[in-house]
Amino acid sequence: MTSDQILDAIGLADETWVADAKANIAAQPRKTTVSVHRRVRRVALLAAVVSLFFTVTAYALGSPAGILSWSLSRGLGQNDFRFLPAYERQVGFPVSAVEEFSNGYRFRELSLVHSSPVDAEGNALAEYLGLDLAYEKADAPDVYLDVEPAALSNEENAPPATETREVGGVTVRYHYSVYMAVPADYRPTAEEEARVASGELQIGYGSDAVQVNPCATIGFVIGDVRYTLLCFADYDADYMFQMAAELLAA
Amino acid sequence: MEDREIVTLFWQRDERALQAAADKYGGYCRAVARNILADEQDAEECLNDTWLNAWNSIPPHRPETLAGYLAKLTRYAALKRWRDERAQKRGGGEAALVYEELADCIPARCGPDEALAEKELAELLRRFLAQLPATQRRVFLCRYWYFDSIAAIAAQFGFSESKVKSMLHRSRKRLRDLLNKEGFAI
Repeated sequence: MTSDQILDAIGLADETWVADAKANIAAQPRKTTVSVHRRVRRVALLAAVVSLFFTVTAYALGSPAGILSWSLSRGLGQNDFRFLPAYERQVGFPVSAVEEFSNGYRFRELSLVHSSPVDAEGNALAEYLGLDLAYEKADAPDVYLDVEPAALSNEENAPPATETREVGGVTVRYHYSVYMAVPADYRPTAEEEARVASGELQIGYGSDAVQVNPCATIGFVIGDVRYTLLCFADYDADYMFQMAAELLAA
Repeated sequence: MEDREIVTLFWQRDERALQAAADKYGGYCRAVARNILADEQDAEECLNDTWLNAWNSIPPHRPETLAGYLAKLTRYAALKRWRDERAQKRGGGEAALVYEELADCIPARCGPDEALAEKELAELLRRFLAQLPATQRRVFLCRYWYFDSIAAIAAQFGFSESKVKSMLHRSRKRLRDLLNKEGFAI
């Protein structure tokens, strides 16, 4: 099997899905104009916000063109948590992680992630190693923990944190947002329009029915290492901050 | 002009269909071509191929989603051109990075000579996409259908780039697991 075959198979995807992927951008003139204005205003607001989600360090890599894209590859998964120290030696930094959270989420798998930021000329700027841990719980969406060098991410466009707390002397940021896929003729309510303007709701037009996908993330930096805990679930701040506290105490 | 009216013009063999399609979706299709092909001229030629292929395929096709249909023609033409250029060691764009990422989805047991039939692989990909949550599916298609850069996807959805990477990472893992599970059940 080759990447060509997979790419060709993806090319045969349902046209409705393909169009839906760009529902805010493709030929829907009225909604596209509104979406662009909201996006521009939101980017301008983010640029003015003092406390961004994470410090922007990616441009410290020294390329005047900045980071254009990323190349990612991932190693085979490891199901035994006892091998974590071996992975810590590979990535070159200690990892604060637990095998089981008090809320019942249990470790399922961890793997190495290779990241290479690429500049506009296609040159790889550096090679970084990080770790990806997956946790599972019965009748609940998976939780993912990304652990990577803090210099990797360009967070200029990150939305402002929904809530920030100090946990054990570490600044932890919680962000919650909701993504609604709606039919092309959907008319947002006044409340939804206000939530889009504030950045807590994103609407994509073109689906068959209204679908709501919540997303809760927690993030913090210890030294030069960034931790991001992510779950596509309706988890509130207390729930996520508790998980962060357990990671920090590990 | 509504898509339905443009498709009707195609069926009536009225050449105004081409101008209407270009006016409405030219920018959209150009973006698809530009993502795959680094060269502006190549992308323009690819667009010309798109309109010609649309004219030759409608009828008998009567696409319900004209945007998706035209983008599919553009993607096919652009990929074909990119692959030809790759053979001659030319070309660029996001395509090289996308290829590298997708190689990660190929199960370890699967050698170059072991392949699902094209139809079976397409069906498997359809099932994979159907089971993805809507936002993950959109992000996945933006990267591997449209060849959008990570930065562009992050800007479109209002995500951080690390979040986009995480989402794609997980989607590729799910795809690999599915390929691994069903890739040899022929």
